[in-house]
Amino acid sequence: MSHLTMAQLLEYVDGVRNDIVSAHLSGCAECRAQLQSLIAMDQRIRAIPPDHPTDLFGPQVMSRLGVRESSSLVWTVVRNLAPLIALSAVTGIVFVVLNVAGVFGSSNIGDSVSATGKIAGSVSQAIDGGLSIFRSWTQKLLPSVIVGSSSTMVFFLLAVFGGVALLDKFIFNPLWRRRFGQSSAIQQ
Amino acid sequence: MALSDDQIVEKIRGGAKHHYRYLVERYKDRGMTLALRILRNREEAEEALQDAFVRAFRGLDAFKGESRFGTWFYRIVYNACLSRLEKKNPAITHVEWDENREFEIEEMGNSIPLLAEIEMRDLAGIVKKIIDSMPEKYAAILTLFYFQELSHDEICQIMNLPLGTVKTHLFRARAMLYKRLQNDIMAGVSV
Repeated sequence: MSHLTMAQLLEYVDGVRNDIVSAHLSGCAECRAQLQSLIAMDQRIRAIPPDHPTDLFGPQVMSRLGVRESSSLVWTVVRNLAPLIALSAVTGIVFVVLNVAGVFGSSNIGDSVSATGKIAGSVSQAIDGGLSIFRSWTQKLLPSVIVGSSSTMVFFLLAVFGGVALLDKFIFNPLWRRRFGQSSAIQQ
Repeated sequence: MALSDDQIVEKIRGGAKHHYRYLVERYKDRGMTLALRILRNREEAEEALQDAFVRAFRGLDAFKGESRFGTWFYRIVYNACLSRLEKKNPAITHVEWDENREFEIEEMGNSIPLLAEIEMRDLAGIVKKIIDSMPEKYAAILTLFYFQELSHDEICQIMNLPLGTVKTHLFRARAMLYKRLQNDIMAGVSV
């Protein structure tokens, strides 16, 4: 009895069904074993892990393209300040929870809590002092913009921040790309 | 949930160019595997792959979504590698392999089950070594079939070959791979 050819077996492995091949396989243990071996071998070859380029490959490609991870200065600032923002948020939440629970007002907690309250109070005073100095400077330098209220100052700061972000996006970023994007492409 | 390739391409076209790094991350390893099997030199393969990513980024507008992004990208990688081969040695892509050589493989013997006993790391080394010894068209076709898990039709698109040719080349390359694997394992070849 002639056995199946390699071509027939490989087609079967790839899912191509043929009545003649199927009939032969049902009656030939040797070809069935051969088929199982081929299937197992295919599976093992497919499971071979891929090769990897160097770790710097991705950043190098992005550098050649002159594409920064994010084109927004706002996002960069927020991302860099994220740990500080998170720490402040956690501290604030803890402080509020303790305050609501009446820990700061309780005499049972002891001197350490009252000392913490004093430190918090002095930090708060320091911030208030800094803000009032900043406000007095801006009132002197930009009297037409700052009329003295906190809300207009916040708007003013936001406008400055937005202006810097726009400058970054449309002027600094293209200049940076032209300067460093091309030079890194040449190096490679 | 991870974005699909098409969604990332849409975002890049919409101006969020930094999203391209997700495609780089997704395709760098498989692209490297293809480039390395064709060029057989890690440094050159990495350079060719970088060129391919740059070309793909600049030509994203030409990607119409008629095929998968991966298929389109592998075609660019394949062509980048062939260009490098041609520059290095203009004759190399015209070398015809002896189609009849070593293809008397109707009888595979009984040693295939031995494969189950080989460590994956050793098997990977042996398979890569065998593929590296084949002409680049067979190396490419095997890599696309086994490591990128592409269909015959997708391989046709990447290599710009008719379906019949791809099937013939693939059969020959696989048969060759099996036969050499069998021989190497029986001979106890160390990688």
